[in-house]
Amino acid sequence: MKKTLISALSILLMALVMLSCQKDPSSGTPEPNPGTTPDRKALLTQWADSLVKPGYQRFNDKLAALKTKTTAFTAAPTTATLLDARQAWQQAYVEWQKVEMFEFGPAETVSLRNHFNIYPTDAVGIRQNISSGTYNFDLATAIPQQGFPALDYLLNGLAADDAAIVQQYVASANHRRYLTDVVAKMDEKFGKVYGEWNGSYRNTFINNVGTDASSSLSRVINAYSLYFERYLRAGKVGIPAGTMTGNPAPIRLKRIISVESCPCS
Amino acid sequence: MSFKYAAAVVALAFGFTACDKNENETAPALRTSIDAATLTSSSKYTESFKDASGQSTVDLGTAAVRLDMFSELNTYMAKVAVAAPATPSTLDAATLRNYYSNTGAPFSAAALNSSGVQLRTATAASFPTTNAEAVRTYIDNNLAALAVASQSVNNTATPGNAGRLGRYLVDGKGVEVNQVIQKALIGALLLDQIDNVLLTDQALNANNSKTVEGKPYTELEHNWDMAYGYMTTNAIMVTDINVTPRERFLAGYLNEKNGPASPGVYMAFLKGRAAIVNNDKATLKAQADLIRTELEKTIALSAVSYLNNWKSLPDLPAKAHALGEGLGFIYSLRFCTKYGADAAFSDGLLNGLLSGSQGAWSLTNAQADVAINAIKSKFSIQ
Repeated sequence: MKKTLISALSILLMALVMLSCQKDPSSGTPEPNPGTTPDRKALLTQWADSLVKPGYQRFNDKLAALKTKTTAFTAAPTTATLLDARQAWQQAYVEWQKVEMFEFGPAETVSLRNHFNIYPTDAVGIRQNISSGTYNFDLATAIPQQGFPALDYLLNGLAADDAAIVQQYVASANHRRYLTDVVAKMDEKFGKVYGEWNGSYRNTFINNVGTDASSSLSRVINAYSLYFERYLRAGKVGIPAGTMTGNPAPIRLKRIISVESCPCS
Repeated sequence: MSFKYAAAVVALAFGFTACDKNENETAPALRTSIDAATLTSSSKYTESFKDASGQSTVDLGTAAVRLDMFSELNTYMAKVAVAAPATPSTLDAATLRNYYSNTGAPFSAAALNSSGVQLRTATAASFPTTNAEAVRTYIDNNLAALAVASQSVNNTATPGNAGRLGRYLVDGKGVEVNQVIQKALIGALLLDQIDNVLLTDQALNANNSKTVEGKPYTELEHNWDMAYGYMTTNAIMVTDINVTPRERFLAGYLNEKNGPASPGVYMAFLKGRAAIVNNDKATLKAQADLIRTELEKTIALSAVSYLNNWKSLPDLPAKAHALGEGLGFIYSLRFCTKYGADAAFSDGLLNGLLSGSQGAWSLTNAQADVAINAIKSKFSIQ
């Protein structure tokens, strides 16, 4: 994760340095030599082909493995298949961290992050969904009832120990169905995004070479800035630590609920 | 005798020629020409145009009055949405009506109460009477609904039940009514006046050869000033979103959602006003067209921006707030006549967004995308 983040940041820094050298045409100073204008298409191509697409491909592999293991678990809930599913969840979640910042283009269109990583998860809502059997992950109220944080609860937080968790899935078709549906929704939304990057969107992205609000450059920078400020800096550190509100809020830590530390509410 | 007769005819001919000459001449220019090149982004609109005696001919008139009335109405409505630790208030239906119609001296600024004008009759004034009344009734109904919803201001909203989400008050359908009202009036009052009443081709033919009785300005000059007055009461319109204090309402959204166009809009107001002084109809029309186009685009860009915000935000209060603003701007699209948007277009989008059984609570990305794509297509935005 660190390597990719550093390379992402260094490429971004490179881009910013290149851009800061370009004179602002509206300021009245002469247009720069065409030879010195930054080649935004080359920059966007680098981002698409070296960052986004490979990142999404690696994540796709982990997500596919997660789906395989959760399918195996719901087909035959045992502590062994539970541990397998949990491991696949953890690996996919770590891989997700490397692509969460790409919330532009297809990911923005489907609001990918809202289906993957909004926390704290709404455990009360999840339990209601399971017992009623009726839920729609495309509704605003369902945003905190799906994705990796929901899987955390479903695989780690449902009961006091692994044996009890397994027993829950053995006994309840609704539980098995909910777990399956959470993963299916992630698969559906990511599949759409992945398909578009492997399809026509890559070319759309690299050819949108302006600097206006709808350009690729603008979208990437705004998405990255939002990710860094709200989801990384505030979401992972500032809010849980209480530095932004004055009140520490450990419940807002995106954390792995281990058996030992589970206040299962 | 024939010589005298001929001389008389010749004299008469000259006389007629002289009369012809006078009729063919344009009326003497009322004002001294202005060199538009002397106007820059730091020229003060309210101080740049004077008559021969040195008196300013710029008077923002009833437009400025209505802008201030709008501000007071908005401040009253916002009492339901105060941030903690302040406590929100319920709103009184009669008070809301009074702000809208200027009855019962509702305004804190006395000059507004005695101004003789109101927001309601200026709403959708460009529409035929029946259609205009429909818009005013829409606002009336929303003001009443806001008062009702505000009775639940201390409850948490749930599907079917008004209350607050975070600090925002929503009705039973999850719609933040005060935002809908505010954003709808930006279109129905401010945009409609500027775009469809004061700056139309027909309006630009207003009398410009003599001053209005008892006033220092011509009718055309005053129309243009009123259009400026519906944007701002500042001597210079702020054109940068990062500069505080921010402009209000339509000018504020021009800066926020259509920022690159804002300096050009201000220059167009200056250059158009100069063109009026110079009787330069071609330049005047070009400036009017620019202003109208960019203000209409501002409504569309705002609508799309808020719908996109609704899509991307994860938490319910922020989503509801973004949606309320978006719905109000979508209502305002019906006044965007240059782009061919009308009530049918606007209502179609609104119905599509709120067609779910629980209104906003039922909204999905797929529904939002229908509206976003329709607006982008209609207004040729990316």
